[in-house]
Amino acid sequence: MIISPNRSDFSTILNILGRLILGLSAFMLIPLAVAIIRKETSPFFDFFISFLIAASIGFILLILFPLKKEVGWIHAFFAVSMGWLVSSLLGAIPLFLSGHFISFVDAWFEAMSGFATTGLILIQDLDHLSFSHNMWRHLTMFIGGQGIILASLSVLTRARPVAVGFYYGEARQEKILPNVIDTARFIWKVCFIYLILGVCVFSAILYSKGLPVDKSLFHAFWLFFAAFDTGGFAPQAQNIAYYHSLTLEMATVTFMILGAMNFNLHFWIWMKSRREIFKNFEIKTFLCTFFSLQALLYFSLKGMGHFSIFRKGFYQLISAHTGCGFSNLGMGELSQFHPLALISITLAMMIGGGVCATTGGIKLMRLGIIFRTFFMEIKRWMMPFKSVYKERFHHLQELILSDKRIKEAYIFFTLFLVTYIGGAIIGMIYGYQPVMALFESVSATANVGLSVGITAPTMPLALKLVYIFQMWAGRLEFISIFVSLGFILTLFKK
Amino acid sequence: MKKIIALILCFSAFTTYAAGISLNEILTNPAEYDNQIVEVEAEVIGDLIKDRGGVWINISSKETNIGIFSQRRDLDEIINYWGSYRQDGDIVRIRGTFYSKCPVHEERDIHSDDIEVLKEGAIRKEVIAPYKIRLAIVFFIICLTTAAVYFIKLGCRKKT
Repeated sequence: MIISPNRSDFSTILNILGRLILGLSAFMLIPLAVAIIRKETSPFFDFFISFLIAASIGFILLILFPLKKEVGWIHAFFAVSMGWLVSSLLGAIPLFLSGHFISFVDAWFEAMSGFATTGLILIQDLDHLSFSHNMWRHLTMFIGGQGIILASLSVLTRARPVAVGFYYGEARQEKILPNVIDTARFIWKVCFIYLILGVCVFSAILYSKGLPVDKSLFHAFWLFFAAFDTGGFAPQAQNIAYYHSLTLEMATVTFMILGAMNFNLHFWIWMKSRREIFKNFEIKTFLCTFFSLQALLYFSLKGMGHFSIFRKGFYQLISAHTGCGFSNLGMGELSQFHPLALISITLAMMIGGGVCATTGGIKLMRLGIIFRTFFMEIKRWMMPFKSVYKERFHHLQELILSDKRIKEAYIFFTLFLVTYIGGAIIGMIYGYQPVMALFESVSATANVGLSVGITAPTMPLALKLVYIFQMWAGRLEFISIFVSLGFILTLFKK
Repeated sequence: MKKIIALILCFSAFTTYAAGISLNEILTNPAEYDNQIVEVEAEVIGDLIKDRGGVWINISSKETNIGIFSQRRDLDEIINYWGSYRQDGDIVRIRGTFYSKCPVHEERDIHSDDIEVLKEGAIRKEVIAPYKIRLAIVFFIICLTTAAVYFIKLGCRKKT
């Protein structure tokens, strides 16, 4: 039986949204503090207004819509999908007020790109953006990477069974600890430890390159947020190419990989067994796909020389595979790559990183399962008719490749593929070349952020909206959005 | 070794000289200008970045950017304003060799022979739009009122 919502269900959802918005307004105090420290008066007003708007809406929702029901999974899923939309809309306000966007849709695009840890940008004159706005842009990736709802709720409420709904709603398939709130807090702990490490490494490199101490520190924070949360924003228009540093590029590669790794694997390596890294199914799948695509890229960039292929090809590929989207290429260089190189980068973006990580895309686990299923079927045909055969794989423990896992893997694989192709077709309708349109569509859906130049303030409005939808749907992995749509449709059935 | 290669590259660059072209033109047709001496005018942005054998500056013109490599380490004495939130950078004219794929740095860059400041940058005046102040006052009152109502309601609920 499908649950049909009533007024108290909506009251409950709006109450959760109110709490979420209050949580978001609290995060806005960070760039506000930066504006005060850096004496940036105009940005101070941008964040003060945005904070007040968000806090007012939050309080109004809490006053008008009390919690009338015990929060259930359906409420959690609806709140998650709406929460990401509302957060991106509210998060766009300070960006729009900065005057660096030609329209509010552009600012919304940027905010959604940040929260979804995508990294596609529509900002203009980025090199003259204030520190506080840059802090907000990068902070959205950090908040989004942790999961907006869970990030807010893990701070605001005590553990409740329904937190599982929020957890799964934000496209995390695995719990690390039995309690979801404890899991969220463990993820926060991991992030903060890496944050300290990352900021130390990045600021040391930047300081050695001649940047002043304060600027080195701020840039280090932002680069860490963008690398570890696989976001891909950078404080300067040239992205990573601005720093002209191979050392920095290698440091970002390390944090990109750490961010793309399953948080469960982090937990296992830290707390249980370091050997897990050599046995893990996702790591093996990653090595297999990465080196295959690297080989493809190598042949397509053959004329460039070994070091150049390493510096340009390897970096773009790892950035695509981890879903980060950092680029060390000059302007327009990526679109001038050989089509085969673009295809290999597109394939890497399609796959993405580990489940329960900050990356988007089909994910290594699902792709690995699909490959295993293929080989399992071949083996089955080669065995005696009555034999029972089950494939096993190692992911933290020995697991059986059950029908449920296979079904899930194929469902997500199909959903991603349909969205990738759908976005590409819309891009082609607007006159972009098929390879380019597919590249940009995959980059948006898989939350990567590499661009061949389609994403620009001058692109058609409809395409901007399509990419916003793709970033949102790709980040939440569709299910919570479909559940919400189903929730709305039941209203019309009454 | 890298220094020597850089020197050789600087002096043995193709003799064709492309003056007064836009940065956008060079970057959209890199093959056409590869290994040629070009002259571009743009704003200096960001910071002076140290590297082996020289320094880097980044320039920007109409949303187009490129890194300029120079062997002169005293560029911060020539350039006074570096484009950022606080200031508009100096507008410079750069004459140098454009490399679509620089054999030394593996980047798309320009190795400068000469850098000249055409127009000095300036400190940017922060202008606070009056509507922002009005909006801040209005929402401050709304936020304060809603927060007060919420906490009063919460207090009443706790009592009951």
